[in-house]
Amino acid sequence: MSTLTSQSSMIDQRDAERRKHHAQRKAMLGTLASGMAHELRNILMPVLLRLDVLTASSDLPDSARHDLVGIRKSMRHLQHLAEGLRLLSPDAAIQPAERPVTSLPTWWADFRPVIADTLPPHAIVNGEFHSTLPLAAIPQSVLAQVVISLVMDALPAVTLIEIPCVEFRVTVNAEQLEVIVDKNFAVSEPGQGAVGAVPTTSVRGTTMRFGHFASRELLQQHGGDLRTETIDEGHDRVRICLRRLDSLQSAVPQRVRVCVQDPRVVAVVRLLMHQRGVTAIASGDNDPADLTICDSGTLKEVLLSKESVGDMQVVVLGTAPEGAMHDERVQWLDVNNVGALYALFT
Amino acid sequence: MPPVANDVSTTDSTHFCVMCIDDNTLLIDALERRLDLVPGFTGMLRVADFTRAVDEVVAARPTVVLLDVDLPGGVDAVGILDGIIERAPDSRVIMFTGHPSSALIARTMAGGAWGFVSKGTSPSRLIEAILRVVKGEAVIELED
Repeated sequence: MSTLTSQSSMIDQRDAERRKHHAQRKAMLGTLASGMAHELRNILMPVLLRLDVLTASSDLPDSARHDLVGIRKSMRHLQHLAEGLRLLSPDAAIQPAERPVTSLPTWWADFRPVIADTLPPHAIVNGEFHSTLPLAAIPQSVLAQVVISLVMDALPAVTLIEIPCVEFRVTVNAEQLEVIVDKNFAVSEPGQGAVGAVPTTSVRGTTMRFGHFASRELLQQHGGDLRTETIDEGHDRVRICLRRLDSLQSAVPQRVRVCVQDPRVVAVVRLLMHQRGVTAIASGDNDPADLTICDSGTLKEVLLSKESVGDMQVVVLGTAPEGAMHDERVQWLDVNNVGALYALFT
Repeated sequence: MPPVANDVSTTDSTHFCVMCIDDNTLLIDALERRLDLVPGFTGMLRVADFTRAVDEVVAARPTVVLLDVDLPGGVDAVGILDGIIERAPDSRVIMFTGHPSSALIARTMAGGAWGFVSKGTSPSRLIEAILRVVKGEAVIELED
């Protein structure tokens, strides 16, 4: 019994070490990818600017203009690739005080080139993400790391398949988005003593590779999950489950009026609201608002306005002056405190 | 390269000049060529020594300053922003970075920057951001 216990703890320890190395390798690759993205950006922007200058020229032959349009298209593709690579950086995750969101169509535009370029040239990557999808409550970088982990996991099998095909599609219900990844190959867990993955068309077991294990943990930290299933021989499916942002927002103000004088602060507040899917109401609009955000200069006007009735809540960006009368409707907030600003919408 | 003397008023709403505080000379040259197509653009100013960037802004009084957050040699771009706000408040600063974060956006915009643009944005939106800031609008442009 003690021998079995000893062997079991040795296996657990070895598994833990392999997971740790896997995570370290991913972090190193992410740092490399991020560095490459930075350099690509530094080159791409000047190229695109000069393309603008050339195409603005009125005495350009049509054939040359057509060529320049083609060059611009390639450069924009590279720009998306650079954005996708940036998502793999271990620093790309946003700070814990925030709950960032992902627009799947935007994420796909940036990350599809990275997926396609990671797989061999003969692999087919399909996917269609419509612009009307709800926002997912997960950082873009986390989703990117999950997907690239799955892709890298499958590489040993993919290189041996004549026409490997990976298809991404999305289903939506009231609570979640599912990114369904269908692939025409299966990867089985290496058996004891086996070296590397064994591509097979046989029915898969339920064990997870380390890439799947780490990806599932990452997703679960954000209320999601990862499930795999075998559809039939030679057809495997991975379901990446994501929480919908709007399903998390039942107690969050949805309609917010912004009455701030400084346009720079307005820009920040509107950005945060946009990231949270919150509707902005114009200050002259008579529609009721769940919350009004103002500054010390507009506070009096807000409190006296006809919209300031009942239990309307007001947040003032700034510091309460000494001796200011207490008003239960009013909360003062330092505009530099981003965590507190995000907390208004979570 | 020493900064070019700015002979045109920076407060003229129809004319504007831009100072770039960035180590990417390819970008600055290309941006100057592109802005040459915009009516009202009077010139591009460059900074030779980033440690003296605030002094050069004070001397030249550009309409817009495009300030790279990721300057080499550990130069503190947010410190430069604070210096410009204090000593040359009429020059409107646009922060330019490859690593946008909400904390940085809030800190710099609340600290007086008029714009925040990600290096992943398209050139047309970078130009549009500069023009909107010239007109007095605050702009945040992240990735497309």
